Amino acid sequence: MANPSTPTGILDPDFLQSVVRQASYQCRADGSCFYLWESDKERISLVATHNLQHVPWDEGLPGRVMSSRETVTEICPNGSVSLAAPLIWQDFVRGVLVVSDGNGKRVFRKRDAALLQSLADMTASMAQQNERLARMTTQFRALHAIDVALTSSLELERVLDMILEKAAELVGAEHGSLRQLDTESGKLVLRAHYGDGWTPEKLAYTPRIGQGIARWVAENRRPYLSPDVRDDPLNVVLFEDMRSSISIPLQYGREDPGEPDSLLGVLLLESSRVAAFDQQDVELLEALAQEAVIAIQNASQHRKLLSEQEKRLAAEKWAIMGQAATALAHRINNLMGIVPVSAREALRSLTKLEMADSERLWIEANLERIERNAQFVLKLSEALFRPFKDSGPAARQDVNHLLDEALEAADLPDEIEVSQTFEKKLPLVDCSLLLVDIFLELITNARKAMEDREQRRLHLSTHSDQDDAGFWVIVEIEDTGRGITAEQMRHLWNMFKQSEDGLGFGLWWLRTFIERQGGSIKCHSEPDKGSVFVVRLPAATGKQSSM
Amino acid sequence: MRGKVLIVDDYSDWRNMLSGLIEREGHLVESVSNREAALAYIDENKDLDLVILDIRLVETEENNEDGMCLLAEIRKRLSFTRVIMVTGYGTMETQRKAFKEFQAFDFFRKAQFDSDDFRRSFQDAVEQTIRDRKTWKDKEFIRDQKYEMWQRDKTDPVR
Repeated sequence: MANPSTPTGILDPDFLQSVVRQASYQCRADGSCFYLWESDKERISLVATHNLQHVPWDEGLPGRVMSSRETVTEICPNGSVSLAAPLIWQDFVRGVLVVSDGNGKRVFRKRDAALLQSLADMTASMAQQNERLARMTTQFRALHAIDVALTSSLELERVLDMILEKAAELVGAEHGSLRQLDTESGKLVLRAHYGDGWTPEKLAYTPRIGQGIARWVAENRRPYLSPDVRDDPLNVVLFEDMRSSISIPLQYGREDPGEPDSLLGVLLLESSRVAAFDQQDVELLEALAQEAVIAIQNASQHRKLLSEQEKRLAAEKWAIMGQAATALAHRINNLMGIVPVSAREALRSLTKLEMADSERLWIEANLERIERNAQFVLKLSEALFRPFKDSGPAARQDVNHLLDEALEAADLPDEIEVSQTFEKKLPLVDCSLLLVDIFLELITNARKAMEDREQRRLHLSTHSDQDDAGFWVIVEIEDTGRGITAEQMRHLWNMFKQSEDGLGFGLWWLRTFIERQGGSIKCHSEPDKGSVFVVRLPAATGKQSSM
Repeated sequence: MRGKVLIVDDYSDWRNMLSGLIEREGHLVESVSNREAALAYIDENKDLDLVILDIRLVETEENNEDGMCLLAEIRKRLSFTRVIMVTGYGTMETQRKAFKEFQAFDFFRKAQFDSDDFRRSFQDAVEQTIRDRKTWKDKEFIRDQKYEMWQRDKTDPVR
């Protein structure tokens, strides 16, 4: 803030009146008056007078005191004598206190000047204290409003947007960003932005280590004030017209840069004015940061809770569906299973009977149809209920190891060139051993897709990842097969997608099973180039690593 | 060789079909639908050669493995009798358990039921039981004989 704020509003008129009266009495002058600087009007105004109506005096005096910054004694041509003292605080002349006497021979002594100056000083210190109190009250009100706003939402994105918006409003910034430190990559990822002109390139920008103000704040865990960014070597220009910026860390405690997880993010605000922010703004934003940290933590906690709840609900749903499915499968197998057996037995008995050949062929054909169709229904039911089949309890599994096992079971021909890139310390996953079947199915699919291909390469890779929901294990199975067309891709996961040799359940049950484990599966493919299947599985809690 | 066979299955169609299948091979067949009837029959027929047992006898109860309990019970009471397990919806786990813990003779799934395999299997089972029982009886007989000889030797020492 370039101009000092006006003290008029923060000094009580009655108090000012008593000051001028005191000045008259103490200096034994006929009258007195008080001028204060009004920053919005850029001039001084008379705020209090005492007995001055009978004393002729020069009204240009206060202006001269403003510029001389000293106590001034003046004898007017009309015969009056005046003594004026400046009201100085924070190195600014913010007002003038004047005493005048109609007796032209009156001499103001040193004692009078000292008295008047001390009265002015006392008023200045009073104003200063009042101003601090007033500012604190305003801040308190603003922060309280922010606190109410922040706790009104538990949605993390909304909370982050709101923090940034309120912060920008609080200090009058035009642009702003809120970045979060990604503990894995060490990058400052943009989570919220404020103001106009955020192009996709600007949104994608992530400051590198040792680059930019936000980066400095993240590393030093201290606020940073840049009155003119054009002279600041730290600044990275994202918006051409920005002149000054202020940045503060969002962290748990205040002075624990040693603790790695204490930093939640960095708030950076910019203005097109030079020196638009000052130390007061730093203090304000620091107070806001404390509220923000609590709001962020609440929202994160809430999100975690929601996702846990979702997982639990899904598990319950699966358990109930599993029970129903098992009972149904049992029933279908009992009722349908007997059909082909009975048909076969009838066929068997038929051989022992005497009858016309045409009649025999007709009965045989009918029985054969009954058997074949019943067999098909049984296979369908088997495939349909496969994901529900209880294949033993979930246990901690090492995905690298399971992939090796699946690869061995797939027994690929030598023409296929197999390569692997496995992350060494991959977290374990909680999953049933059916996971081997999943990988086996994917590897077998890849083999089939490469059957008539010249180049046959299969690449298996694993790595871990982390997001708000926790740790993930990611498996990629990539082939140089014939690929999947856009048309095929649309029906890829459908339950009854017909393939040449399967029942059309393969990928459906695969996805159902993986989703049941709380994971996901995706496929990227380029026709004639190859496909890659990406399986994401939640890592077991308590980050145990495989060797 | 004529054997004595018990079928335990809660689906009457399967009971009738299986008993027809076995009877036609010349065996004596009794079929029951539940565990209590099965145990009652077992107690009265110690010369039972084979039991065809459906693992999941009652559908409604959760994790019902009544058949598995019955298998354990048969193992305890009848040492020679073979047991062939049949199941509507079997997992690898139940199959493994049936073989490993209770020494089931064979395991069939209703969804992929091959009647020729089944015929071969129950013939083998009946034959084995009858043979085992005979071997045991022979052994007993020889032991008795030996005992008598020993007794005779004792009372009638070598001159």
